[in-house]
Amino acid sequence: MKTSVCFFFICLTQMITAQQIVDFEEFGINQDSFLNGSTVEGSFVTAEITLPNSFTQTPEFSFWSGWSISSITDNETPGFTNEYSAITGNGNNESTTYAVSFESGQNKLYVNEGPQIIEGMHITNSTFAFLSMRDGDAFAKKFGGATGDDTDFFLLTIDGYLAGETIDTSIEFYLADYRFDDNSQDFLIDEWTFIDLSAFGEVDSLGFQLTSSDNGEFGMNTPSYFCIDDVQLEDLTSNTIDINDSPTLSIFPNPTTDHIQISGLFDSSNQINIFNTQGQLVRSSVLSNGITYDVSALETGTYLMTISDNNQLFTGRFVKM
Amino acid sequence: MKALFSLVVFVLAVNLFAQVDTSLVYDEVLIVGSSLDFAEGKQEEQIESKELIKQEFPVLLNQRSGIHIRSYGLGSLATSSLRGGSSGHTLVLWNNVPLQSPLLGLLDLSLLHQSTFNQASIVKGGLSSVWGSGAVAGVISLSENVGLYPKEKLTLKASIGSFGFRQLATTWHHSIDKWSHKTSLDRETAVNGFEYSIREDLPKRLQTNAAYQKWNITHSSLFQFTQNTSLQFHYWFQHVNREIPPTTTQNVSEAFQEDRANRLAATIKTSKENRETEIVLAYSAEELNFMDPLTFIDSPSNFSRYFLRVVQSYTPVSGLSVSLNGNVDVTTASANAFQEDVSENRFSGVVHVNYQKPKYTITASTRQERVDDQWIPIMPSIAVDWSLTPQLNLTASANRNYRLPTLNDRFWIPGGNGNLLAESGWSQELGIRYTHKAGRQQFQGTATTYNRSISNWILWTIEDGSSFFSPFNIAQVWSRGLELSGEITHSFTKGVIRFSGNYDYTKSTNQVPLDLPKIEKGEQLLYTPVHQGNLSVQYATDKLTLDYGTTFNGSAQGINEDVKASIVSNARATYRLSTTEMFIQVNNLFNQSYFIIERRPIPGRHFRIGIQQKLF
Repeated sequence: MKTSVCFFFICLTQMITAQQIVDFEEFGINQDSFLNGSTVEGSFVTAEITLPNSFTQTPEFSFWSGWSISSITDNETPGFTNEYSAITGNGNNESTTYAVSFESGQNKLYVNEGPQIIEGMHITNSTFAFLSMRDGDAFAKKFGGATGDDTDFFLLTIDGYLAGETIDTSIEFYLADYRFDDNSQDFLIDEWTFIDLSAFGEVDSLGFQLTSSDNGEFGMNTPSYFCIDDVQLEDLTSNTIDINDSPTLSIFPNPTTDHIQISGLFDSSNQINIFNTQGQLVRSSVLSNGITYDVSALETGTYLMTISDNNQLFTGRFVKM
Repeated sequence: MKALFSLVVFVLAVNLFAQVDTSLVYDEVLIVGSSLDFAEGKQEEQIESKELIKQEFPVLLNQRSGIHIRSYGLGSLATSSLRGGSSGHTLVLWNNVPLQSPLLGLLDLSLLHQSTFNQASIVKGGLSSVWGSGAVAGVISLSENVGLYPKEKLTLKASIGSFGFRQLATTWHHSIDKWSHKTSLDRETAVNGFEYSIREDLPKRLQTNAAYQKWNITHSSLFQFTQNTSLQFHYWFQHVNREIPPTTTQNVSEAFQEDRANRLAATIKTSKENRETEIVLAYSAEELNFMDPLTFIDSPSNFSRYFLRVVQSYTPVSGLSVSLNGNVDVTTASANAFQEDVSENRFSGVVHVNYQKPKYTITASTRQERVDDQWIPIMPSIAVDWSLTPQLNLTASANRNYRLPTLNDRFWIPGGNGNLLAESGWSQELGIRYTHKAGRQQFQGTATTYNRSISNWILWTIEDGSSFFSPFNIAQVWSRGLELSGEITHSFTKGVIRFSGNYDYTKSTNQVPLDLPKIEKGEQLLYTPVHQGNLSVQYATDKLTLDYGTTFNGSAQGINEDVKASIVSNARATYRLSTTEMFIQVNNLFNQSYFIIERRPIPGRHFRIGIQQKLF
């Protein structure tokens, strides 16, 4: 157990300090499974980004929107019963895990540590949307229409946000484009494709909006799904320091039963995030220098924390007894 | 009672008018109190048994009554739209028992099979005050009238047609003294692998996954205990397996649907002096299973329904009759999408007064209904039928109408809304009917104009902050229109020729702009053509009958794209030799490529031939 915790700590530390690629593997789900929000409240959180999720559970029905985390490999079954699947059948570079977006309006992705440059991410179609566009279904048309000549498209528009304002640039990515005069050029995205988002510069969130040429009275017929993986953020390695390597900062008491205190902070108030061993954000708040932080409500275990101070990001760990 | 009797006489007269030609051809036309009760002041179209077998029932409804049929293709779903209403706004009765699914609020008209009824009556206009929820735009009343046949009769029928159509049917009539029985078995199958064209320069496509098998078994009995007391009993077993074909923008479909129903209805009628009592007791148990192996969808649902109607009519003085009507309607249903088995209990009472003078008849009704713990507003109506001259009648009526939310509206998870109100509104109509007979010619013409508004129209939409659809009382629909119909009959020494036609102008617009579904204020409702009409001609001798009909459906807006106007013609020849009758039928005679619902192809020219043999 101790070995595995140490290994996990090393992984998480690397994720925060050196890895600026969010590959969703940290959620540690088994192959052909998914997280749709039924076990978390409100969001999927990594050290770098937050993916909102809304989940409704009744005794006989559950419903989600926003983001899910998936490792589904079935890329052949059509319909919404296979809604967690990427058409590639795996993550980017044949990894296991990826994220699936399902939102009729704009879906958001938040940067955890203030404004940061998101260099890009890999995007592909969901199996549900891909097969619907390729073959049609009872509600949506196959792209190209009955004759094959319809000028259909499935467009993902990405907006950047900074301090609540929309950056005056949008980045468009066609998940399907059948607008060519020569039908042989029509295409459906069926592999992970890198989208460069660095043009936004620093952002604190991204907005994703799907539009389609196939619309009826009840809105868009094309299933409003797409998938992302390997979100690349600006490299913060130079700004990230392990608290153990800091000459001034220290966490005590550690292990602790009810509170921790961080000494040596430069700023008067500091953003602190605490993660469990699954990499899920369990606590996020502002901590003042020299003030004790109540962790009595946390379950027993090892926790990773990040704290920003003096324009640097520090990582550390503590054990709750 | 006298008024009711007069009404029956009037209806019989109308039927006899229509019977002039058919009596030359057929030896048996049953008319046994076939008119829909309490429908005074409305235009009524009746289709008799021998006419019913000439077409698929939805097609016949469209041709004869002007009801717009939203057909999803041969053998597929077909729903009605009358006077710009939705399918749930036309009540369908089988032997005076509602047929609509309480889950969906509609009836798939393609499931109606002519072996299960021998009389169809279509009454246009609001009748909710008497017939309750759903009778907003009109009522389609189907009944099996079992007469006291003079002898035993056994009939066999076989038909084949294009696209693998096969039908085998037998009907056995049997009478003993005051008891009469009729039993029918009917099996119908089709592959429906027809070719259709998307565009002339493109190869034709073959429709797939469109086969069906239908079994219908019916039994009806009449027990005429005394001259004034009778019992009718009806049983209808139905089992239909249908494949759900792909749309024109769908490569493949493997979906299929199974419908299974057991329906029982018993009616006791007794009269004494100036009182008449009618008791209708019915039970139905129905299943609908939709499955799609491709998407792993398995969606079974079922319901059972007990229905009781007691009508007590009283004629205190000549020309005045009063009817009191009590109804109990108890439904239990289950579906995957319901949290648990759900039920709905409806109780209602109706008072109907009919006052008749030689020149005019005035009727008034009012209905009060309670659904579970909710009172439905009182539904009054008034109607006048005025004989201006022996040939000219004027009808006028005003009604308040309503439609209750369906069980899916109330209980579907997610989204079901238990706080829905009943759709309701007022309708008014004014009609004129002219009949004239001169020698061998007869003419009948009607013109009706109507106005109807419905508030709290239920639509499924997504509320702000929600992620799934829910039904809400968000729409308000204003429907108005003009209906014209006419029929000319000329009798020859050895035959009859009849020309008939109808035209409907229908404006049915939403009066509240909506974002989802996207409907502008004043926009015509989906799949509701403004113009629609039919022309038909029939020539009949004692052995030969020739029918030709043309139907025009104007353009209409669909969910995804507009549906173009279409003109489709059908023809049929029937030849009778002694106890044998043969027919050949051509549908879509001029091989038109058209749609009623976008992306749902309908076959080009196709044929049916058949033979019916009366064994004894």
